[in-house]
Amino acid sequence: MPINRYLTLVFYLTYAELKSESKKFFVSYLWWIVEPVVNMAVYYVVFGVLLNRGTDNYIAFLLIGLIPWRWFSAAVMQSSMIIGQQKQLIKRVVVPKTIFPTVNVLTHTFKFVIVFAVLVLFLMILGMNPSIHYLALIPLLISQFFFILGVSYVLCSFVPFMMDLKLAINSAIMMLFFLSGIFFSGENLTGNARTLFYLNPLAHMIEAYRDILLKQHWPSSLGIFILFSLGVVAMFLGRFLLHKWSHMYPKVLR
Amino acid sequence: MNQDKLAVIEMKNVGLYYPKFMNLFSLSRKKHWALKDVTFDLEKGETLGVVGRNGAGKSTLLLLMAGILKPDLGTIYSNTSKISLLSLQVGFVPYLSGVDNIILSGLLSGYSIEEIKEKMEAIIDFSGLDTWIHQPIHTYSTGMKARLGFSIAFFTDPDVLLVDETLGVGDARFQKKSEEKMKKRISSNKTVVLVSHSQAKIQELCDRVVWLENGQTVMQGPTKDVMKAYESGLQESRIDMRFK
Repeated sequence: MPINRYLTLVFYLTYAELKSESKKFFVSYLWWIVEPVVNMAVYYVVFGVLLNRGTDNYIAFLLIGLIPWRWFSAAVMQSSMIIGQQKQLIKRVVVPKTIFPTVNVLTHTFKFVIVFAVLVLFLMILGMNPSIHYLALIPLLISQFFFILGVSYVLCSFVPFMMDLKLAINSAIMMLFFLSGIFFSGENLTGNARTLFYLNPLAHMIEAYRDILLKQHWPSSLGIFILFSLGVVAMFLGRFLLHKWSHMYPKVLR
Repeated sequence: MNQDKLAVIEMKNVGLYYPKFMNLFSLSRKKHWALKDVTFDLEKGETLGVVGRNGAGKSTLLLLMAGILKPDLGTIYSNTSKISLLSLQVGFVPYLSGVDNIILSGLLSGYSIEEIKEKMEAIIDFSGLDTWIHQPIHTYSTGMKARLGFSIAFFTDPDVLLVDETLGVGDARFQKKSEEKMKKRISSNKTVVLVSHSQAKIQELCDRVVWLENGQTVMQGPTKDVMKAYESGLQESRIDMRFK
Protein backbone atom coordinates (compact mmCIF):
# COMPACT_ATOMS: atom_id res chain seq x y z
CA MET A 1 0.00 0.00 0.00
CA PRO A 2 1.46 3.40 -0.98
CA ILE A 3 2.53 5.50 1.99
CA ASN A 4 0.06 8.34 1.40
CA ARG A 5 -2.87 5.94 1.23
CA TYR A 6 -1.61 4.22 4.38
CA LEU A 7 -1.46 7.55 6.22
CA THR A 8 -4.91 8.61 4.99
CA LEU A 9 -6.36 5.37 6.24
CA VAL A 10 -4.61 5.73 9.60
CA PHE A 11 -5.90 9.28 9.89
CA TYR A 12 -9.50 8.36 9.12
CA LEU A 13 -9.52 5.31 11.36
CA THR A 14 -8.11 7.35 14.26
CA TYR A 15 -10.66 10.08 13.65
CA ALA A 16 -13.43 7.47 13.54
CA GLU A 17 -12.25 5.87 16.76
CA LEU A 18 -12.04 9.16 18.67
CA LYS A 19 -15.33 10.39 17.31
CA SER A 20 -17.22 7.25 18.21
CA GLU A 21 -15.67 7.13 21.66
CA SER A 22 -16.87 10.64 22.34
CA LYS A 23 -20.34 10.04 20.91
CA LYS A 24 -20.97 6.99 23.01
CA PHE A 25 -21.27 8.84 26.28
CA PHE A 26 -23.44 11.62 27.60
CA VAL A 27 -20.57 13.82 28.80
CA SER A 28 -18.60 12.75 25.70
CA TYR A 29 -15.21 14.50 25.46
CA LEU A 30 -15.21 15.33 29.14
CA TRP A 31 -14.52 11.66 29.88
CA TRP A 32 -11.03 12.09 28.49
CA ILE A 33 -10.32 14.36 31.45
CA VAL A 34 -12.73 13.08 34.09
CA GLU A 35 -11.68 9.44 33.87
CA PRO A 36 -7.94 9.97 34.39
CA VAL A 37 -8.56 12.57 37.08
CA VAL A 38 -10.77 10.21 39.08
CA ASN A 39 -8.29 7.44 38.55
CA MET A 40 -5.38 9.52 39.79
CA ALA A 41 -7.34 10.89 42.72
CA VAL A 42 -7.65 7.31 43.94
CA TYR A 43 -3.89 6.78 43.76
CA TYR A 44 -3.32 10.04 45.55
CA VAL A 45 -5.70 9.17 48.38
CA VAL A 46 -4.21 5.70 48.80
CA PHE A 47 -0.51 6.47 48.44
CA GLY A 48 -0.34 10.14 49.30
CA VAL A 49 -2.75 10.33 52.20
CA LEU A 50 -3.58 6.88 53.63
CA LEU A 51 -0.09 5.41 53.37
CA ASN A 52 1.26 8.81 54.31
CA ARG A 53 4.19 9.13 51.99
CA GLY A 54 3.53 12.82 52.23
CA THR A 55 6.90 14.32 51.34
CA ASP A 56 7.03 17.73 49.70
CA ASN A 57 5.17 17.95 46.42
CA TYR A 58 4.25 14.29 46.62
CA ILE A 59 1.12 14.81 44.58
CA ALA A 60 3.10 16.46 41.76
CA PHE A 61 5.75 13.75 42.04
CA LEU A 62 3.09 11.05 41.78
CA LEU A 63 1.12 12.59 38.92
CA ILE A 64 4.21 13.22 36.81
CA GLY A 65 4.94 9.50 37.09
CA LEU A 66 1.39 8.30 36.63
CA ILE A 67 0.29 10.25 33.58
CA PRO A 68 3.05 9.14 31.16
CA TRP A 69 2.78 5.65 32.66
CA ARG A 70 -0.93 5.48 31.84
CA TRP A 71 -0.23 6.50 28.26
CA PHE A 72 2.12 3.53 27.99
CA SER A 73 0.06 0.95 29.87
CA ALA A 74 -3.35 1.75 28.40
CA ALA A 75 -2.06 1.88 24.83
CA VAL A 76 0.04 -1.28 25.10
CA MET A 77 -2.66 -3.33 26.82
CA GLN A 78 -5.23 -2.51 24.18
CA SER A 79 -2.77 -2.87 21.31
CA SER A 80 -1.87 -6.37 22.38
CA MET A 81 -5.46 -7.45 21.68
CA ILE A 82 -6.11 -5.23 18.69
CA ILE A 83 -5.73 -7.87 15.96
CA GLY A 84 -8.39 -10.01 17.61
CA GLN A 85 -10.66 -7.02 18.12
CA GLN A 86 -10.46 -6.18 14.43
CA LYS A 87 -11.05 -9.69 13.15
CA GLN A 88 -14.16 -8.76 11.19
CA LEU A 89 -12.07 -6.38 9.11
CA ILE A 90 -9.05 -8.65 8.88
CA LYS A 91 -11.21 -11.41 7.41
CA ARG A 92 -12.74 -9.11 4.80
CA VAL A 93 -10.15 -6.71 3.46
CA VAL A 94 -6.46 -6.75 2.65
CA VAL A 95 -4.73 -4.03 4.65
CA PRO A 96 -1.28 -3.89 6.27
CA LYS A 97 -1.81 -5.19 9.80
CA THR A 98 0.41 -2.48 11.30
CA ILE A 99 -2.49 -0.10 10.74
CA PHE A 100 -4.46 -1.44 13.69
CA PRO A 101 -1.87 -0.97 16.46
CA THR A 102 -0.83 2.36 14.92
CA VAL A 103 -4.38 3.69 15.07
CA ASN A 104 -4.76 2.46 18.61
CA VAL A 105 -1.55 4.11 19.77
CA LEU A 106 -2.52 7.38 18.08
CA THR A 107 -5.91 7.36 19.79
CA HIS A 108 -4.28 6.91 23.17
CA THR A 109 -1.69 9.55 22.33
CA PHE A 110 -4.41 12.07 21.57
CA LYS A 111 -6.07 11.43 24.91
CA PHE A 112 -2.70 11.59 26.69
CA VAL A 113 -1.91 15.00 25.22
CA ILE A 114 -5.08 16.43 26.76
CA VAL A 115 -4.32 15.01 30.19
CA PHE A 116 -0.69 16.09 29.94
CA ALA A 117 -1.78 19.66 29.21
CA VAL A 118 -3.98 19.53 32.30
CA LEU A 119 -0.97 18.30 34.29
CA VAL A 120 1.17 21.24 33.16
CA LEU A 121 -1.64 23.61 34.13
CA PHE A 122 -1.85 21.94 37.51
CA LEU A 123 1.90 22.31 38.05
CA MET A 124 1.62 26.00 37.22
CA ILE A 125 -1.10 26.36 39.84
CA LEU A 126 1.31 24.77 42.32
CA GLY A 127 3.79 27.46 41.35
CA MET A 128 6.04 25.42 39.05
CA ASN A 129 6.13 27.51 35.92
CA PRO A 130 7.49 26.09 32.65
CA SER A 131 11.22 26.57 32.25
CA ILE A 132 13.66 26.29 29.35
CA HIS A 133 14.06 22.62 30.29
CA TYR A 134 10.59 21.96 28.88
CA LEU A 135 12.31 21.85 25.48
CA ALA A 136 13.60 18.42 26.45
CA LEU A 137 9.99 17.24 26.45
CA ILE A 138 10.08 17.16 22.65
CA PRO A 139 12.61 14.32 22.29
CA LEU A 140 11.20 12.62 25.39
CA LEU A 141 7.60 12.57 24.13
CA ILE A 142 8.71 11.44 20.67
CA SER A 143 10.84 8.66 22.16
CA GLN A 144 8.04 7.45 24.37
CA PHE A 145 5.68 7.46 21.39
CA PHE A 146 8.01 5.22 19.40
CA PHE A 147 8.61 3.02 22.40
CA ILE A 148 4.86 2.47 22.84
CA LEU A 149 4.44 1.90 19.11
CA GLY A 150 7.28 -0.63 18.97
CA VAL A 151 6.11 -2.61 21.98
CA SER A 152 2.56 -2.56 20.58
CA TYR A 153 3.65 -3.93 17.19
CA VAL A 154 5.64 -6.79 18.69
CA LEU A 155 3.01 -7.83 21.23
CA CYS A 156 0.05 -7.70 18.86
CA SER A 157 1.88 -9.83 16.32
CA PHE A 158 2.16 -12.74 18.79
CA VAL A 159 -1.06 -12.59 20.81
CA PRO A 160 -3.47 -14.00 18.14
CA PHE A 161 -1.49 -17.26 18.12
CA MET A 162 -1.48 -17.65 21.86
CA MET A 163 -4.22 -15.93 23.74
CA ASP A 164 -2.51 -16.81 27.05
CA LEU A 165 -0.07 -14.03 26.30
CA LYS A 166 -2.81 -11.54 26.98
CA LEU A 167 -2.85 -12.60 30.63
CA ALA A 168 0.94 -12.66 30.81
CA ILE A 169 1.11 -9.14 29.38
CA ASN A 170 -1.40 -7.82 31.88
CA SER A 171 0.61 -9.33 34.75
CA ALA A 172 3.86 -7.94 33.40
CA ILE A 173 2.36 -4.48 33.10
CA MET A 174 1.04 -4.69 36.66
CA MET A 175 4.53 -5.64 37.83
CA LEU A 176 6.16 -2.79 35.93
CA PHE A 177 3.60 -0.44 37.43
CA PHE A 178 5.11 -1.02 40.85
CA LEU A 179 8.74 -1.32 39.70
CA SER A 180 9.12 1.68 37.42
CA GLY A 181 9.42 4.25 40.15
CA ILE A 182 5.98 5.82 39.99
CA PHE A 183 5.57 5.79 43.77
CA PHE A 184 9.21 6.19 44.77
CA SER A 185 12.39 7.61 43.39
CA GLY A 186 15.16 5.31 42.16
CA GLU A 187 17.75 7.70 43.50
CA ASN A 188 17.13 6.39 47.00
CA LEU A 189 18.02 2.84 46.01
CA THR A 190 21.46 1.32 46.57
CA GLY A 191 23.51 -1.66 45.41
CA ASN A 192 21.92 -4.38 43.29
CA ALA A 193 18.44 -2.97 43.69
CA ARG A 194 19.62 0.23 42.03
CA THR A 195 21.33 -1.60 39.15
CA LEU A 196 18.23 -3.70 38.50
CA PHE A 197 15.94 -0.72 38.76
CA TYR A 198 17.78 1.18 36.05
CA LEU A 199 17.69 -1.75 33.63
CA ASN A 200 14.07 -0.82 33.06
CA PRO A 201 13.73 1.80 30.31
CA LEU A 202 10.44 2.97 31.79
CA ALA A 203 12.26 3.93 35.00
CA HIS A 204 14.54 6.20 32.97
CA MET A 205 11.52 7.60 31.23
CA ILE A 206 9.68 8.53 34.41
CA GLU A 207 12.81 9.98 35.91
CA ALA A 208 13.29 12.14 32.83
CA TYR A 209 9.77 13.55 33.18
CA ARG A 210 10.48 14.40 36.81
CA ASP A 211 13.81 16.01 35.95
CA ILE A 212 12.07 18.31 33.50
CA LEU A 213 8.79 19.06 35.21
CA LEU A 214 9.57 18.81 38.89
CA LYS A 215 13.27 19.49 39.39
CA GLN A 216 13.52 21.72 36.36
CA HIS A 217 16.87 20.56 35.07
CA TRP A 218 17.98 18.70 31.94
CA PRO A 219 17.22 14.95 31.93
CA SER A 220 19.81 12.29 31.13
CA SER A 221 20.04 12.04 27.35
CA LEU A 222 21.17 8.42 27.64
CA GLY A 223 17.80 7.36 29.11
CA ILE A 224 15.90 9.07 26.31
CA PHE A 225 18.21 7.62 23.70
CA ILE A 226 17.72 4.08 25.06
CA LEU A 227 13.95 4.53 25.02
CA PHE A 228 14.01 5.76 21.45
CA SER A 229 16.37 3.08 20.12
CA LEU A 230 14.49 0.24 21.77
CA GLY A 231 11.26 1.63 20.34
CA VAL A 232 12.57 1.86 16.80
CA VAL A 233 14.14 -1.61 16.90
CA ALA A 234 10.91 -3.09 18.28
CA MET A 235 8.93 -1.26 15.63
CA PHE A 236 10.91 -2.78 12.78
CA LEU A 237 10.79 -6.22 14.36
CA GLY A 238 7.04 -6.00 14.95
CA ARG A 239 6.42 -4.70 11.46
CA PHE A 240 8.43 -7.56 10.02
CA LEU A 241 6.46 -10.13 12.03
CA LEU A 242 3.08 -8.59 11.22
CA HIS A 243 3.91 -8.71 7.52
CA LYS A 244 5.30 -12.21 7.71
CA TRP A 245 2.21 -13.59 9.48
CA SER A 246 -0.23 -11.32 7.68
CA HIS A 247 -2.07 -14.21 6.07
CA MET A 248 -2.05 -16.36 9.18
CA TYR A 249 -4.28 -14.03 11.21
CA PRO A 250 -7.49 -14.64 9.22
CA LYS A 251 -6.83 -18.36 9.71
CA VAL A 252 -6.37 -18.40 13.46
CA LEU A 253 -8.96 -15.79 14.42
CA ARG A 254 -12.27 -17.53 14.87
CA MET B 1 -7.45 -22.94 -22.52
CA ASN B 2 -8.34 -20.82 -25.49
CA GLN B 3 -5.54 -18.55 -26.56
CA ASP B 4 -7.78 -15.55 -27.03
CA LYS B 5 -9.16 -15.87 -23.51
CA LEU B 6 -7.19 -14.02 -20.89
CA ALA B 7 -6.98 -15.57 -17.46
CA VAL B 8 -7.36 -13.04 -14.64
CA ILE B 9 -6.68 -15.58 -11.92
CA GLU B 10 -5.02 -18.95 -12.36
CA MET B 11 -5.17 -21.50 -9.56
CA LYS B 12 -2.91 -24.51 -9.76
CA ASN B 13 -3.22 -27.41 -7.30
CA VAL B 14 -4.11 -25.03 -4.53
CA GLY B 15 -4.38 -26.29 -0.95
CA LEU B 16 -5.00 -24.49 2.32
CA TYR B 17 -5.29 -25.63 5.92
CA TYR B 18 -6.68 -24.15 9.10
CA PRO B 19 -4.74 -24.97 12.28
CA LYS B 20 -6.86 -26.76 14.84
CA PHE B 21 -7.08 -25.24 18.28
CA MET B 22 -4.37 -26.53 20.51
CA ASN B 23 -3.53 -26.25 24.21
CA LEU B 24 -1.03 -27.64 26.66
CA PHE B 25 -3.16 -30.70 27.39
CA SER B 26 -3.87 -31.61 23.78
CA LEU B 27 -0.66 -30.90 21.97
CA SER B 28 -1.60 -32.54 18.71
CA ARG B 29 -0.57 -30.28 15.88
CA LYS B 30 -3.47 -31.13 13.67
CA LYS B 31 -4.39 -29.37 10.52
CA HIS B 32 -7.71 -29.22 8.84
CA TRP B 33 -7.26 -29.05 5.08
CA ALA B 34 -10.16 -26.91 3.84
CA LEU B 35 -8.81 -27.04 0.29
CA LYS B 36 -6.71 -29.92 -0.98
CA ASP B 37 -6.32 -29.69 -4.69
CA VAL B 38 -8.08 -26.95 -6.59
CA THR B 39 -7.21 -26.04 -10.16
CA PHE B 40 -9.05 -23.67 -12.45
CA ASP B 41 -8.73 -20.40 -14.38
CA LEU B 42 -10.92 -17.37 -14.04
CA GLU B 43 -11.23 -15.68 -17.40
CA LYS B 44 -11.67 -12.03 -18.06
CA GLY B 45 -15.29 -10.97 -18.42
CA GLU B 46 -16.87 -14.23 -17.35
CA THR B 47 -19.18 -15.01 -14.49
CA LEU B 48 -17.97 -18.07 -12.70
CA GLY B 49 -20.18 -19.98 -10.30
CA VAL B 50 -18.80 -22.05 -7.44
CA VAL B 51 -20.98 -24.87 -6.13
CA GLY B 52 -20.52 -27.56 -3.53
CA ARG B 53 -22.00 -28.73 -0.28
CA ASN B 54 -21.45 -27.07 3.11
CA GLY B 55 -17.81 -27.36 4.06
CA ALA B 56 -16.66 -28.00 0.51
CA GLY B 57 -14.34 -24.99 0.74
CA LYS B 58 -16.26 -22.40 -1.28
CA SER B 59 -15.84 -19.49 1.12
CA THR B 60 -12.17 -20.28 1.69
CA LEU B 61 -11.69 -20.25 -2.06
CA LEU B 62 -13.06 -16.71 -2.29
CA LEU B 63 -10.80 -15.54 0.55
CA LEU B 64 -7.85 -16.94 -1.40
CA MET B 65 -8.86 -15.17 -4.57
CA ALA B 66 -9.30 -11.92 -2.65
CA GLY B 67 -5.73 -12.23 -1.34
CA ILE B 68 -6.87 -12.36 2.28
CA LEU B 69 -5.48 -15.88 2.64
CA LYS B 70 -2.40 -17.33 0.98
CA PRO B 71 -2.23 -20.92 -0.29
CA ASP B 72 -0.20 -23.49 1.66
CA LEU B 73 0.10 -25.64 -1.44
CA GLY B 74 0.16 -24.83 -5.13
CA THR B 75 0.16 -21.41 -6.73
CA ILE B 76 -2.24 -18.62 -7.44
CA TYR B 77 -1.40 -16.23 -10.19
CA SER B 78 -3.46 -13.10 -10.63
CA ASN B 79 -2.81 -10.27 -13.07
CA THR B 80 -4.88 -7.60 -11.38
CA SER B 81 -4.75 -6.14 -7.91
CA LYS B 82 -8.29 -4.83 -7.92
CA ILE B 83 -10.02 -7.93 -6.66
CA SER B 84 -12.51 -7.49 -3.89
CA LEU B 85 -14.85 -9.48 -1.81
CA LEU B 86 -18.34 -8.01 -1.81
CA SER B 87 -18.74 -7.46 1.87
CA LEU B 88 -21.46 -5.08 2.78
CA GLN B 89 -20.98 -2.65 5.61
CA VAL B 90 -17.38 -3.64 6.14
CA GLY B 91 -15.75 -1.36 8.68
CA PHE B 92 -18.90 0.67 9.27
CA VAL B 93 -18.61 2.87 12.32
CA PRO B 94 -22.04 3.53 13.88
CA TYR B 95 -21.28 7.00 15.23
CA LEU B 96 -19.99 8.42 11.97
CA SER B 97 -22.08 9.97 9.23
CA GLY B 98 -22.91 8.17 6.01
CA VAL B 99 -20.37 10.29 4.12
CA ASP B 100 -17.58 9.46 6.57
CA ASN B 101 -18.48 5.80 6.35
CA ILE B 102 -18.32 5.88 2.56
CA ILE B 103 -14.79 7.30 2.79
CA LEU B 104 -13.71 4.80 5.43
CA SER B 105 -15.19 1.82 3.66
CA GLY B 106 -13.63 2.88 0.37
CA LEU B 107 -10.20 3.39 1.91
CA LEU B 108 -10.37 -0.04 3.54
CA SER B 109 -11.21 -1.63 0.20
CA GLY B 110 -8.05 -0.13 -1.27
CA TYR B 111 -9.23 3.01 -3.03
CA SER B 112 -7.62 6.41 -2.81
CA ILE B 113 -9.44 9.37 -1.34
CA GLU B 114 -9.66 10.98 -4.81
CA GLU B 115 -11.27 7.92 -6.33
CA ILE B 116 -13.80 7.82 -3.52
CA LYS B 117 -14.68 11.50 -3.79
CA GLU B 118 -15.21 11.08 -7.51
CA LYS B 119 -17.78 8.40 -6.89
CA MET B 120 -19.33 9.97 -3.82
CA GLU B 121 -22.27 11.53 -5.64
CA ALA B 122 -23.17 8.37 -7.53
CA ILE B 123 -23.03 6.34 -4.32
CA ILE B 124 -25.27 8.77 -2.43
CA ASP B 125 -27.68 8.92 -5.36
CA PHE B 126 -28.02 5.18 -5.67
CA SER B 127 -28.42 4.68 -1.94
CA GLY B 128 -31.42 7.01 -2.01
CA LEU B 129 -30.46 8.30 1.43
CA ASP B 130 -30.68 11.97 0.48
CA THR B 131 -30.05 14.25 3.46
CA TRP B 132 -29.81 11.25 5.78
CA ILE B 133 -26.33 10.76 4.40
CA HIS B 134 -25.04 13.41 6.81
CA GLN B 135 -26.56 11.72 9.87
CA PRO B 136 -24.63 9.19 11.95
CA ILE B 137 -25.50 5.74 10.69
CA HIS B 138 -26.59 4.39 14.06
CA THR B 139 -29.76 6.40 13.43
CA TYR B 140 -30.41 4.44 10.21
CA SER B 141 -32.82 1.56 9.88
CA THR B 142 -31.41 -1.83 8.94
CA GLY B 143 -32.65 -1.32 5.39
CA MET B 144 -30.95 2.04 5.07
CA LYS B 145 -27.66 0.63 6.27
CA ALA B 146 -27.95 -2.23 3.78
CA ARG B 147 -28.62 0.26 1.00
CA LEU B 148 -25.56 2.31 1.87
CA GLY B 149 -23.43 -0.81 2.12
CA PHE B 150 -24.52 -2.09 -1.24
CA SER B 151 -24.09 1.27 -2.96
CA ILE B 152 -20.51 1.51 -1.73
CA ALA B 153 -19.69 -2.04 -2.72
CA PHE B 154 -21.29 -1.58 -6.10
CA PHE B 155 -19.73 1.69 -7.09
CA THR B 156 -16.21 0.91 -6.02
CA ASP B 157 -16.13 -1.27 -9.12
CA PRO B 158 -13.18 -3.67 -8.85
CA ASP B 159 -11.85 -5.65 -11.83
CA VAL B 160 -12.94 -8.87 -10.20
CA LEU B 161 -15.89 -8.98 -7.86
CA LEU B 162 -16.23 -11.92 -5.50
CA VAL B 163 -19.72 -12.52 -4.16
CA ASP B 164 -20.40 -14.96 -1.36
CA GLU B 165 -24.13 -15.27 -1.02
CA THR B 166 -23.82 -17.88 1.69
CA LEU B 167 -22.59 -15.10 3.96
CA GLY B 168 -26.03 -13.51 3.77
CA VAL B 169 -25.35 -10.39 1.78
CA GLY B 170 -27.91 -7.74 2.68
CA ASP B 171 -31.42 -8.21 3.99
CA ALA B 172 -34.46 -9.52 2.17
CA ARG B 173 -36.03 -6.13 1.55
CA PHE B 174 -33.05 -4.74 -0.26
CA GLN B 175 -32.24 -7.98 -2.03
CA LYS B 176 -34.40 -7.29 -5.05
CA LYS B 177 -32.83 -3.96 -5.94
CA SER B 178 -29.34 -5.25 -5.35
CA GLU B 179 -30.03 -8.37 -7.34
CA GLU B 180 -31.13 -6.40 -10.36
CA LYS B 181 -28.02 -4.29 -10.15
CA MET B 182 -25.89 -7.37 -9.73
CA LYS B 183 -27.43 -9.00 -12.80
CA LYS B 184 -26.76 -5.87 -14.80
CA ARG B 185 -23.17 -5.93 -13.71
CA ILE B 186 -22.82 -9.58 -14.51
CA SER B 187 -24.21 -9.14 -18.00
CA SER B 188 -21.98 -6.10 -18.56
CA ASN B 189 -18.88 -8.12 -19.30
CA LYS B 190 -17.38 -7.76 -15.83
CA THR B 191 -15.54 -10.56 -14.12
CA VAL B 192 -17.55 -11.99 -11.27
CA VAL B 193 -17.22 -15.05 -9.07
CA LEU B 194 -20.44 -16.12 -7.43
CA VAL B 195 -20.87 -18.54 -4.55
CA SER B 196 -24.49 -19.39 -3.97
CA HIS B 197 -26.66 -22.13 -2.51
CA SER B 198 -29.35 -21.30 -5.03
CA GLN B 199 -28.94 -23.57 -8.03
CA ALA B 200 -31.47 -21.50 -9.94
CA LYS B 201 -29.37 -18.39 -9.53
CA ILE B 202 -26.22 -20.13 -10.68
CA GLN B 203 -28.05 -21.53 -13.71
CA GLU B 204 -29.34 -18.10 -14.61
CA LEU B 205 -26.23 -15.99 -14.06
CA CYS B 206 -23.10 -18.02 -14.65
CA ASP B 207 -21.18 -18.77 -17.84
CA ARG B 208 -19.11 -21.47 -16.23
CA VAL B 209 -19.22 -23.42 -13.00
CA VAL B 210 -16.60 -25.00 -10.74
CA TRP B 211 -17.84 -27.85 -8.55
CA LEU B 212 -15.98 -28.34 -5.28
CA GLU B 213 -16.25 -31.35 -3.01
CA ASN B 214 -14.10 -31.93 0.07
CA GLY B 215 -11.67 -29.26 -0.98
CA GLN B 216 -11.14 -30.65 -4.46
CA THR B 217 -12.35 -29.62 -7.88
CA VAL B 218 -14.68 -32.39 -9.03
CA MET B 219 -15.67 -30.83 -12.29
CA GLN B 220 -15.61 -27.56 -14.18
CA GLY B 221 -17.04 -26.35 -17.44
CA PRO B 222 -20.13 -24.79 -19.01
CA THR B 223 -22.93 -24.19 -16.51
CA LYS B 224 -25.35 -26.66 -18.09
CA ASP B 225 -23.05 -29.67 -17.98
CA VAL B 226 -21.67 -29.09 -14.51
CA MET B 227 -25.04 -28.33 -12.93
CA LYS B 228 -26.54 -31.46 -14.45
CA ALA B 229 -23.79 -33.60 -12.98
CA TYR B 230 -23.95 -31.71 -9.66
CA GLU B 231 -27.68 -32.20 -9.30
CA SER B 232 -27.51 -35.90 -9.99
CA GLY B 233 -24.58 -36.09 -7.60
CA LEU B 234 -26.65 -34.46 -4.88
CA GLN B 235 -29.50 -36.85 -5.53
CA GLU B 236 -27.24 -39.83 -5.27
CA SER B 237 -25.89 -38.70 -1.96
CA ARG B 238 -29.43 -38.16 -0.70
CA ILE B 239 -30.28 -41.73 -1.62
CA ASP B 240 -27.09 -42.87 0.12
CA MET B 241 -28.12 -41.07 3.26
CA ARG B 242 -31.55 -42.67 3.26
CA PHE B 243 -30.13 -46.17 3.15
CA LYS B 244 -27.50 -45.60 5.82
